[in-house]
Amino acid sequence: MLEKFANRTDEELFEYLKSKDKSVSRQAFEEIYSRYANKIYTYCRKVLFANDMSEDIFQDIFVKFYESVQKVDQMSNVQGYLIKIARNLCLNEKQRRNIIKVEMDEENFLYNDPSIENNEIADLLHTSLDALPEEYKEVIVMKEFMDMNYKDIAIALDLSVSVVRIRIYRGKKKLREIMAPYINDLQN
Amino acid sequence: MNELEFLKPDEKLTAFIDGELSKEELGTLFYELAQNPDMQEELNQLMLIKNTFRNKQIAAPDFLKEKILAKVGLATPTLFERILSPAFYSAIFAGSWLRIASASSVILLIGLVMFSKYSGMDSDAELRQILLTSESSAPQIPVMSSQSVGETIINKSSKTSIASYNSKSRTNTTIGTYQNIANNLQSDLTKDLAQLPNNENISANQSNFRAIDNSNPYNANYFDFGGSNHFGVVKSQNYESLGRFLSNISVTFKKFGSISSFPNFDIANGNDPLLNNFSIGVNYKVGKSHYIGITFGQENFLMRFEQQEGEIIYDYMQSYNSTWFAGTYKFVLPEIGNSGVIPEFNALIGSSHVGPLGKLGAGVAYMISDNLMLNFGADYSAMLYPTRGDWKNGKWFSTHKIGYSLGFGASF
Repeated sequence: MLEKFANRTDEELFEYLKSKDKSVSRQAFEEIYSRYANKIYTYCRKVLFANDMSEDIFQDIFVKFYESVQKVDQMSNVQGYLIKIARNLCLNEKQRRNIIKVEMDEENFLYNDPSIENNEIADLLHTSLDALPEEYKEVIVMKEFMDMNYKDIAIALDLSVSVVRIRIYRGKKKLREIMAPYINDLQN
Repeated sequence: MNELEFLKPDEKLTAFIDGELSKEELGTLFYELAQNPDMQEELNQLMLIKNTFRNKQIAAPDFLKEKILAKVGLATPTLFERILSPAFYSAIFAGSWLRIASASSVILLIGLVMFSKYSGMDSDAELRQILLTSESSAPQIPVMSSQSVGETIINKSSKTSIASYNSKSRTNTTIGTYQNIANNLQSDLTKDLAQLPNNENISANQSNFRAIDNSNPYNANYFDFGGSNHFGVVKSQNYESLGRFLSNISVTFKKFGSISSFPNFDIANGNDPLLNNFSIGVNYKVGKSHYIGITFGQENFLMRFEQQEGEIIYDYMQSYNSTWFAGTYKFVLPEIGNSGVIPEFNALIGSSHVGPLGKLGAGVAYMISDNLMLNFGADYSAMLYPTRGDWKNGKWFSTHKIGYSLGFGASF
């Protein structure tokens, strides 16, 4: 039954979401969920770095999104709107729980052995990512894990494309600096 | 002037591996790369980090979806809730002729089923009947003898009929009528036989009619026919490779009922196995509205055909079941509103070992869930068959049937 919604644009689904027929709004909601759930969940996991917290926030994001839809008349960018909600809730949660960010110092990393395994490389990458300043981290998460282009990231974060490009560049430069001792392992 | 021209070389490289450069910008970058070995090494390292992000997105756990739907008041309704939903009825009666026709067909089908069920048309008795017709070259009054106890010889002027039945299992008034007619005609025949004592065509040991039984290859199990309509599952997700393939496959089971048959006569099934009048099929979705598949089935059918034995043409009437295989095609219309009701049309072409058969059907499928559905519809069946199973030289006959089907389907 979802097939007929699969070809609808986000804007059309937004209109269906406001339908008084719950069957219609449910199907529209499910279609939007299928499009963005993994992206938003990935964002939560990468930004919050905790499973249970991510799941709670993830649910809150879609609940808040549905509540917002009922209040506004128009929504031109559903993905951007979802990311804004996700960003606000994740940052609020981090502040509320006072999550301490790992300082970007090589001494804080556990990986001193250059001959690390592939899964350890992934862990290293994620730990390195978490050590980045928030403004760099979120654009890299959106680019690399959510498959968003610079323009969509710019819209979601209310930034210019140039700023997004520079943040991604600087963020990756720092990642390279952190991971420099392990570059040879990456090549293998 | 393009702002990228003001970027540092490694900034350009980052934009390059992120797929954010235009063709013109790519040309410039490749030129610089060819001139600069350090830049090449820089690109290599950036690519290594890029490749480390291979695990990509993390799938949200399935249970979170239902939790969210429940929180916003959009939990998946039960089947009962869906049927009671005003959307179900408003969608059906929204004015479209197709919707009205679908709803009317359903009501008509239910009525026909109820009528055929309680109108006394059904009989559990085993009545087997053979009509014999003499040819002009045949003796004016052919001689016949019965093969078994309880069978009655009937003679009517130039046309001769024989009816045999098992009165043990038949208790309604029709049996009494048959018995009276048979007794009267048997008396007439006895007189006729007495007038032809020296006829050379008479042979006391030779039977000119044969009772239809299931051991005879021309009888109950010999002629096969069948067909069925099928439905598939509309849902199609973007799974890769095997997952995508399986998501387009559906399996169906159907039970058939007969409303009317051409030819039509009151004769009970000679062979009625426990699981009969059914089909099992597999469909594959080849387009948004198109499905193809294969189906196996077993179904009863009424048939009437002539067969010449010597100088006498026998007129056989029989009911039997048979197995068949067929290829199917189905066309599915869009769902009616959001009711879960999907109109569908189908065609089937196949064969038994007797002759080709075909079916046309129309009906509706009701989706219980994304992977399970019920369906019902009306079917027209036709089959051609030659006498003696001789496709080259046999005389061809056809049989037709209008019926209904009830079934369910599941997809992967």
